[in-house]
Amino acid sequence: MSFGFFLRESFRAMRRNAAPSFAALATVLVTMLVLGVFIPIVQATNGAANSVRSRVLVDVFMNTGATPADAARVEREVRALPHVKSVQFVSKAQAYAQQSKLDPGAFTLLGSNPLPDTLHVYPDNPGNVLLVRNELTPPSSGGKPIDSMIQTVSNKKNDTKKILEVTNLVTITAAVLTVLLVLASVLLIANTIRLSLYARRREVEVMKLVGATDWFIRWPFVIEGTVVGAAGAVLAIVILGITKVALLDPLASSWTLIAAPQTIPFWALLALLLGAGVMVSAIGSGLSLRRFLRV
Amino acid sequence: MRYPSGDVALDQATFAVDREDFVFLVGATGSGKSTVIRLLIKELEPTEGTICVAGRELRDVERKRVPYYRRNIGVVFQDFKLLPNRTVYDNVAYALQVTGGTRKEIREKVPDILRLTGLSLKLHNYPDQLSGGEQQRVSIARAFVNHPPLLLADEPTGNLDPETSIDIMRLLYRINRTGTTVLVATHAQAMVDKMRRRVLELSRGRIVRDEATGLYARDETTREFANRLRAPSTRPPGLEP
Ligand SMILES: Nc1ncnc2c1ncn2[C@@H]1O[C@H](COP(=O)(O)OP(=O)(O)O)[C@@H](O)[C@H]1O
Ligand SMILES: [Mg+2]
Repeated sequence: MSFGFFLRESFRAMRRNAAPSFAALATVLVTMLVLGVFIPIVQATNGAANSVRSRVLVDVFMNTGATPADAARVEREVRALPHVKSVQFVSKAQAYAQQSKLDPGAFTLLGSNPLPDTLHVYPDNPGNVLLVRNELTPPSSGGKPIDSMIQTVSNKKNDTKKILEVTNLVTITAAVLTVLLVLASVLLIANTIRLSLYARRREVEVMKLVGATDWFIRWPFVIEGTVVGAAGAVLAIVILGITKVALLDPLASSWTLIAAPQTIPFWALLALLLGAGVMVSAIGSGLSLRRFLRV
Repeated sequence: MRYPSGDVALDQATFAVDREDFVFLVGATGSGKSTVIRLLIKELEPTEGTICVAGRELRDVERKRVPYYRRNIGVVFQDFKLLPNRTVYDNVAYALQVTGGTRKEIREKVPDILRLTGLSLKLHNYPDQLSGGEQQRVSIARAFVNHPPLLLADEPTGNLDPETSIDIMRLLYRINRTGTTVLVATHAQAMVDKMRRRVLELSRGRIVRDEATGLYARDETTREFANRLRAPSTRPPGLEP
């Protein structure tokens, strides 16, 4: 039998079973809408967490008497350490200019510059910040810095730990929520399809009794699932698209979370939703039918 | 044959039917007639014993081959089993479509069989727009549109008035004369007596009677056949004391 026959069969079924088909379509639509809103939010949250984590660093303060040559040597040494991604050198003068801009009164009182040369050391991965600190002040040497010209090494240990913990928690929560939501969506769609097939189980039995093979019966159902899933997903995409253009884009300039660069590209999100809607719906139809084919 | 619920539907029900024969399976309701038919199309598996159709043991027919096996058997179901979302025409066409019948074939055969069963005016009706008797005739049309070598009919006249019943029996007889083996399950004893064909009687799942009256002429025309059915005599001469 030709594909055209199966296609006609599936459209006949949708016409004659409009209510259950519509229920399945609405389910796909709603779940895809929820996913379409939720995925960018999760991604923006992860992006925010990552940008906070990327600010985790180790500060190396030089002796006030350190010469520019000392500073250059220490910078070279630090760069050579493992897990160091980058080093930013802030000279006394730069630090003074920065701080006095923040609080002009306090610094004019002092008259001279009390600030040391500073190296901001960024780890390759926020989680490795303590390793980098250990490299700079090896515990084997009693916590003494690797270079005598280094006054102190600071990473605001407690703050760092808290930032890492909180951002980890945010990321994990987001991942768990995503998995739960995807799971709930799949189950919801599959269940709606099962209910609509259950109403038609007698029909499937009769088809088997008059000599139809399993796939002869199954194809129209799979096509129907594909069409319903695609229709639901496309509707969801249209709604999401209108919302994005009409509401979010104007806001994006003033609200950084929406404009977060880490969010999935919009077209990829839409493709993902369409693919998921069609797959879950089509495969769900094909699999749910199996129970009724045992005649 | 025992149902999963524990009800024993058939026990000691051994019989054989010859090719091209016309056999009645009679018995009160609940005696196991429908069960025999469900076993023959492998809708049920016997809990004990064996069933052979066309020299083949049904137990050996694999699950995947069952649809192909069923295409050799036309079945008129007691509850019709029509597809509710299809018109009369499409219900009958479906039996051809499952076998891969072409559109041309369908356009030729379906109107023919619908004319034969007197449904030409109801082509585009859906099953819920038909009377019980009309649905029964759709079921017959679907069962026979493939010209299967074996036709099983479960109470094919159960919902029909006497005159239409005679038409249906005549139709079944005509089908039988084309070389199809016909097994008709019915509790309409009077009709069976008049038909003078081989009769198997079931009682509580047991074959209690198996007699071929032998008094009919196999080459009787369908008209003669119908006239005899209409005749008022209640018992065939051969059975009179
Ligand atoms: N699905 C079933 N489950 C359990 N028992 C059944 C089922 N179908 C039929 N039976 C029992 O099997 C016996 C024979 O039923 P059936 O073959 O339908 O009789 P008939 O067609 O002669 O009226 C009856 O006693 C009936 O109650
Ligand atoms: Mg019965």
